[in-house]
Amino acid sequence: MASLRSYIVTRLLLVIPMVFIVLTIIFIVLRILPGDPVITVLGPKSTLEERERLREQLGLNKPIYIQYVEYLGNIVRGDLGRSLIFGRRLVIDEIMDRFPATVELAVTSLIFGAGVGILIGSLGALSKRKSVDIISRLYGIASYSFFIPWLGLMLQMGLSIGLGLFPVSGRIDPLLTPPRITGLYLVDSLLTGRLDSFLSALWHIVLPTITLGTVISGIFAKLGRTSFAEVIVQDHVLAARARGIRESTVFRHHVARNAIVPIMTMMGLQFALLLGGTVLTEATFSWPGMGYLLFERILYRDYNVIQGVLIIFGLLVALINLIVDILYAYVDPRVRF
Amino acid sequence: MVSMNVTRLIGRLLPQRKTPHYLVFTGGLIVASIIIMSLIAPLLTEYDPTIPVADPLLPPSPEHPLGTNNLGYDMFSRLLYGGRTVLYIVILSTLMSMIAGVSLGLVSGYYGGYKDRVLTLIMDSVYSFPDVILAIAISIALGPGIYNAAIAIAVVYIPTYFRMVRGQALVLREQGYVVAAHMLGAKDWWIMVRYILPNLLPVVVVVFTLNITDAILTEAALSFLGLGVVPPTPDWGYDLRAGQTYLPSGYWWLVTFPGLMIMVLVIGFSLIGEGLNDILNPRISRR
Repeated sequence: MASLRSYIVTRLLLVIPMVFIVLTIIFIVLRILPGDPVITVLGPKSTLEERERLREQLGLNKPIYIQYVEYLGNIVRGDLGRSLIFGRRLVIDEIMDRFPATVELAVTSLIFGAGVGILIGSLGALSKRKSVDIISRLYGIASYSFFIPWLGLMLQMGLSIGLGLFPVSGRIDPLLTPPRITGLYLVDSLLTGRLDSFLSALWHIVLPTITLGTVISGIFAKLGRTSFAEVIVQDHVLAARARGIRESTVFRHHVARNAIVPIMTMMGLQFALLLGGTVLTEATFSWPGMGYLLFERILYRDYNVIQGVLIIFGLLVALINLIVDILYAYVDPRVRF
Repeated sequence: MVSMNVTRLIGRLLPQRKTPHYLVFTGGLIVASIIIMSLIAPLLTEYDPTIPVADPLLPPSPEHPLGTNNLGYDMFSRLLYGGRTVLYIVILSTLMSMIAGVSLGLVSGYYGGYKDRVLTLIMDSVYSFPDVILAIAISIALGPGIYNAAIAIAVVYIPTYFRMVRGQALVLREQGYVVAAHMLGAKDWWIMVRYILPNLLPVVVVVFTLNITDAILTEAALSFLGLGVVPPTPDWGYDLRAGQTYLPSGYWWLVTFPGLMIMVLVIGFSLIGEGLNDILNPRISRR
C-alpha cells in the first residue's frame, strides 16, 4: 500500500499546475482575448464615463499582471466578487444555491446513462446474433449524435405537452420544496420524511435525466461493447467454461469484473462531457443549476457570475479527474508504477 | 512518399463487402445530400430566409412545407440556408484547429524536451475542460458572430489533434528512415514535412471526421445559447432556441426540423468516422 500512498501524493502535486493552468486559461479567455468585458456588459451604446466607472469597479483599470495576481488571490480566498445585478449578491452564494441542482442532475444522468449504455454495449458484444451487435453499435452512434436541447424538447413535446405525464420544466413543485440540508431535493425530502416532496422532485427530474443520460449512454455503449468483446474471447473465460462453471457465474466473476475496469478509466473524460451536457440540459428544462445560472447571466451579461461559474466548473473537472485517477489506482495496481 | 501514402489510403477505401465500408458509404451519402441541399438552396425554395414572407406561425402546408415562424419567415428556406451557415462555421473551425493542432503536435513530439512537456500540460488542461463550456467562455469574450463562433470552436479542439499527432510523431521520429534522413543531413523541418507528416495522414483524416461531429454539436450549442450567429442569419441551433418559446403553445414544427437536421448531419459524419476508423486505424480511440 506504500506505493498507493506515493502515487496519491504525486497525483495530488500534479493537480496544482493543472488547476493553475485552468484558472489561467479562464483569465486569458475573459480578460486578454480581444473584446472588452466592459463593453460586453454595458453594450456598445454606453458612455465613456459609465465604462470607466465599471472598469474601476471590476478592477479592470489596473495593469494586467496586477489583475492576474488579484484574480488568483481572490480565488484562493474564496472571493468571487459580487453579481452586477439582482441585489449584488455574492457570486459564491449564487453558485452554492445552484450547485446541488447540477450535482443531482449529473448523478442521476450518469447512473441512467452508464446503466443503459453498458447494458446495450454488453448485449451487442455477447449476443450470438449479428443483428443485435449491429443495433447495439448503431445505438452508440445515434445516441451520441443527439443535440441535447432537441432531444429534451422532443421529450417535452411528446411526454409533457402531449401526454401530460411529466412536468415541462423546473425542479420541484415550489410549494413542496423541502428544507435545505444537502440541497439535493431527492435526499432532503427523504431525510425529512416528506414523500410528497420526494415524488414531486422525482417527477421533475425524469425528463432531464433521460435527455442527458441518453447522450452519455452512447459512449458507455461503445466502450462496453469493445470492452466485453475483448474479455469474452480470453483464455480464462474459456477455461472457466471448460471447468463447467455455470454461465451466469462465468459472466459475473470472469467477464463482467474484467470488462468494467477499462470502462471506469474512461469515466474521467465522460465527466467533462457530462458537465458540458448539464449546461444545455439545464437551459432546455429551466433546471435551476449552475448551467442555467450561466445561461441566465449570459443574457444579463453578469460578468462576475459568469467568471465565477467558469472557475467552479474548472475546479470541478480537476477534482473529478483526481478522484477518478486515485480510484483507478486503487482498483488496478498496475497504474501506480 | 506522399503519393504512395495517398494511393494506399485510397486503395483501402475502395468499396468492399465489409461493414466498415457500408458505414462510410451511408455516412458519405447523408453528408453529401445535406451539402448539396444547402448549396442548391436557391433552386429548392423561392423564399429568402431572412425576411418575412407570410403570416406568422403557419403550420406546414404545400406553400410552406415546414411552416413559418413567429416572424413569418419560411422555415423550409431557413432549414436549407441554415445548413450553409452550420457547414461553413464547422468546416472553417475544424480546419483551423487541424492546422494549429497538427503543427504544434508535430513540432512538440519531434523535438521533445521541456517545451514539449509544458505544451503537453497546457493542451491536456484544455482537453480536460468541458468543450461546450470552454467554447461558451471564448464566445462570451469575443462576442457573437460567425467568425467568432468559428474561432471559439477551433480553439477548443486544437488539443484533440495535438495529442494524436504528438503521440504518433514520438513513435515516427525513432523510425529507421527518419534517423537515416537525419544522418544524411536533412533539415528538421524537411524531415517533419516530407517524412513524418505523410505518415500522419490516415490518423488526421479519422480524427477530422470524428472531431467534426463534436464541432457541429458545439456550434449548435453556441447558437442555442445565443452566442453563435446573429439573427436573422439562418442557423439550426438558433432556430431551435427561437422555437422553444412556442413549443408549449403547440407550434411543433419550429423545433422539430432544425434539431433533426443537426442530428442527421452528426450521424452522417459519425458513420464516416467510425468506418474510416475501422479501415485505417484499427486501434485509434476517440474522445
